[in-house]
Amino acid sequence: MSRRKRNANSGFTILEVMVAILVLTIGLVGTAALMSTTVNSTARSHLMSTAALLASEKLEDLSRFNVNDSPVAPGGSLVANTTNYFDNVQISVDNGAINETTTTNGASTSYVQTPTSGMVVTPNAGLPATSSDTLTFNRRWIVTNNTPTTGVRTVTVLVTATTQAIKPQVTFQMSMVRP
Amino acid sequence: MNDLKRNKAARRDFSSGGFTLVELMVAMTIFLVIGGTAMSLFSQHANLFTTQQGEVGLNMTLRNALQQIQTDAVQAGNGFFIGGATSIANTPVGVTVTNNPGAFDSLTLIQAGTPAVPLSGTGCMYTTSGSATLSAGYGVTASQFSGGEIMFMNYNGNQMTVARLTGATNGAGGTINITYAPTNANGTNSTANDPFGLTLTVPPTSDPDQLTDQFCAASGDYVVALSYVTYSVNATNQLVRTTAATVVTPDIIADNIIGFKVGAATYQGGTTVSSPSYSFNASNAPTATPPGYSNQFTMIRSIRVSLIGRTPKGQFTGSNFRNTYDGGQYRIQALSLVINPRNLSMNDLE
Repeated sequence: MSRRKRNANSGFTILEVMVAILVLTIGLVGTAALMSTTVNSTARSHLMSTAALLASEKLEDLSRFNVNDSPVAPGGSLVANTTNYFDNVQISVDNGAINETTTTNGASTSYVQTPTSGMVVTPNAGLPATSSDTLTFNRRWIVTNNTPTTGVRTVTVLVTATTQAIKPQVTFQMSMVRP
Repeated sequence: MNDLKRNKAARRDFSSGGFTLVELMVAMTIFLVIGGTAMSLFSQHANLFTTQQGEVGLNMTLRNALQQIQTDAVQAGNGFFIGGATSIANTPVGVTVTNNPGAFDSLTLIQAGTPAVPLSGTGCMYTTSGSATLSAGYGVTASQFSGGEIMFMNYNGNQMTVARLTGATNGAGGTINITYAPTNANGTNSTANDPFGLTLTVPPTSDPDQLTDQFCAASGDYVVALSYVTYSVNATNQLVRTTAATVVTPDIIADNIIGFKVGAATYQGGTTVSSPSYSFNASNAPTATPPGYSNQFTMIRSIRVSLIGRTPKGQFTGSNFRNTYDGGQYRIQALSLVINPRNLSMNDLE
């Protein structure tokens, strides 16, 4: 009895201190992980909503073509870039630029919209260099004839956010049926 | 020995009565270090939160604005399918775009405000005169010709002009007398008398005889009142929506817009001649670099609207963030949308 009392008066044992530190560390690491998860999921949802918008933009774009136009001829792939069936989009959150390339008939055209100089269209040009805050997306689409039924074709667009910081990669796929 | 024990006990009693100055200072130092770290972490996080709030707000603003434009754009060309030889694809009632060199374009979406009302009488009239009489019996009153622009069109839809309406009164026997700013002798207009820009190209390269100033009641030529919605960005960076009813105080769709560009994809007729990409140079010739469509708005089938917005000024004064556009302390976002006004292509797929 008197021994325990003396121990209590003289301070904590090293074991007690270490257990306390361990508990505190677990708590702090948990909080830090939660914060980074929150930031990560916010970034993911931002990429996801932008990817969804880009997918519907491409579908709407493809739906304007006449049935005989080459951009909606059957072809393309979702697993590899196929000429005339893919493009790249860069969106900068720093200087507000939207950079886009399209490949038509094998030639890429770049569209760069900035607040300072409006829209600059450059035929036969690729995308400008990216900065760390640039969101980059790759769009591939595939046009399948007589699917799901004879006489119509299905267009499927796959948007992939190629921003490396977010794992796993954000993708968004969307389809439409048209004549 | 006994004394020593007593002394020790006394010292312990004394020391347990409070902290020494050194103990207190060490404790305070540790507290300050930990507290300071926690505070800096909190202030960083608070900043991040403000940034996120601003960005989410901006994203919603841009989405809402594009949604509003889409709602109006899909209506473009409504109410003007006369049937027979006339189809909407031959008229400029639909979409007109003004591409400016800077960051801001303007977009006008047009639809018919009234049914087509034939001219009254038997002979021909000229739009250089500034007045016309419309037939009775089409369920239209003078009040429906209340302002804005009117379009004259011949019976088979291949010749037209437009004029800025100045007045309309109910005439004898249900007819309607309209007055308007006179056009030029070839059916062209000044910009002031054709704010929609429907007669901008003179003569249109695709159809040199499209504009005229002569319309004949005998052959069934008619008049349609046009209603319109114009999107543009004003001097205080607001995206505004102007209609005939809101010319003086346009509706404000979004604040802090620093980029508004409208591209158009065109269709030249036939089966395989849709333009592969969007042109942001409406007045350029198709052979120019970059290619345009010579203001041939009848050829527009699809538009691509791009908006760039920024968070409110001064929101990030606590951060070191500077954008490279003008060094402002705000964040920037960009969104674009493709819209196909379906009315414009209803006559294409043959």
